Amino acid sequence: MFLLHALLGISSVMFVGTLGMLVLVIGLVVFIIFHQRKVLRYQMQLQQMEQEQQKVLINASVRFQEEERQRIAADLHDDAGPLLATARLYLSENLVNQDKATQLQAIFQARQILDDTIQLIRNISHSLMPPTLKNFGLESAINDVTQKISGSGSINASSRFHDYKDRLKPEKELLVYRMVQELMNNILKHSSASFIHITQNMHAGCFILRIHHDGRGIIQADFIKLNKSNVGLGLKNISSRLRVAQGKIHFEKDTSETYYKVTMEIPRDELDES
Amino acid sequence: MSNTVEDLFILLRISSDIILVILGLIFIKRVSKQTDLAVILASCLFDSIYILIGEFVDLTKSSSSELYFGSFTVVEFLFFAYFIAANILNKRFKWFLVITAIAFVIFNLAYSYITNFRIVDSVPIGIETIFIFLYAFCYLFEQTSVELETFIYQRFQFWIIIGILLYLAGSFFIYVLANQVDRETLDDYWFLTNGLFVLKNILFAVGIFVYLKQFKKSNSSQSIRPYLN
Repeated sequence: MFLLHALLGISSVMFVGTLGMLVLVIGLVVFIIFHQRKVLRYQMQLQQMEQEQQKVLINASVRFQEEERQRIAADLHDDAGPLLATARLYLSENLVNQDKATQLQAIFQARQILDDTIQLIRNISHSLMPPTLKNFGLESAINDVTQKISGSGSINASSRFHDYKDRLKPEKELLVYRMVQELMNNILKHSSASFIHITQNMHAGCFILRIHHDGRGIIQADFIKLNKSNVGLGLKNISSRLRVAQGKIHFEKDTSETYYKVTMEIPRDELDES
Repeated sequence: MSNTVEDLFILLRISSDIILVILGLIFIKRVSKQTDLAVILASCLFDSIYILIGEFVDLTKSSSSELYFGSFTVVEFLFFAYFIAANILNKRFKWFLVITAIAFVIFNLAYSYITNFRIVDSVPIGIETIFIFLYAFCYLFEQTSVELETFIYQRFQFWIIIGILLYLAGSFFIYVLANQVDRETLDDYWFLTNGLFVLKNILFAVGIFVYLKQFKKSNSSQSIRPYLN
């Protein structure tokens, strides 16, 4: 100010100062307006993207539900239907006119068919809600899955739960189980892995489940890409289930570049303890 | 600068103050629901009374000049500081504002008591401007960083703040240098302060209309009831 005073005189300082202050304030206000507009537009864009993503997930979940229903309908129609019809044939009205040996044989056959049908319906029911999960919890259910896979002889599958004294809520257990099922299914279908290993841990109040396998796999970028595309229904289901469980998933290649690793992180609620 | 032009600006300043007060009285029901806006209108009323007192009271006698200018600076500062405090969200900053405002009031009282200034209380005005600038920029920064659903200029607070900023920025150098220049030079620029008052009042009026529009909108959206058969 003193320099300006010496150079321009006090009157000019007053004029230049006033003008300068006004320009400064106007400039700042303009900057704030444009900056806020930019921020708001960016937020709107983000919201739009999120809405689109949600739409894709909802569509995937609806499609998945429909496919599941179709599968159950096909199982009932193609397998249980003919079996029951055959049993009905054995137990037809003509049976009373037959001799006793034939009657006994027909009844025996019908019983066999009814047993098969019961088993079939049990299988369908188990695929909807695995009894091991319901009765013994996630640890046993996942052990069951890995044992069944190992039983086939082509892949060595195992699981180990390190810290699962306090179970998750049943709804969360079912969500985790379905996600594991989906991931295992994908590994079996696409990876040509020779081993799958599942480990569980607790960290900072989060339930951590990690799946290792030595086949072909995907990394996080692929997962995000597949989630946005129209393919990869199973992965979209994993995403929607994770959203319900408020969890996170991370697909990565091990540091040794030999294994693929999928890490699921599910926050524990206060009421998870059973 | 002739006295006619100067008088015209004083007249415009008083008229714009009174128009705003009348506007506030017309929409008193809506304005009374927004205390910060009511305070701004009270500042306009205070300004018009202050100008009228200045026109009729002889300020050259004894310490009336110090009291007159000193009280205006303090009251104006308190009106503006209250408006910003009422709208700022950050609690820490609210506390900072309250403490600095109290400190400023104490300083100003002491300054008016100790110092005899020639024309205006340049130092308190300079400090007032710096403080209000600081508060206003903190408010604007906060508004740009919090998540918002509307553009900043769609809120009445923005227009009021801009009015305050432009008025203080434009008059800063005139007030600060007022005691260092001769009367004729000051008179050449003094009309600008009144012009800036008018500009401030125009922006306040824009703010009031934005508020009334918002009020109407929120009321109409509240009146929509779901059809429950």
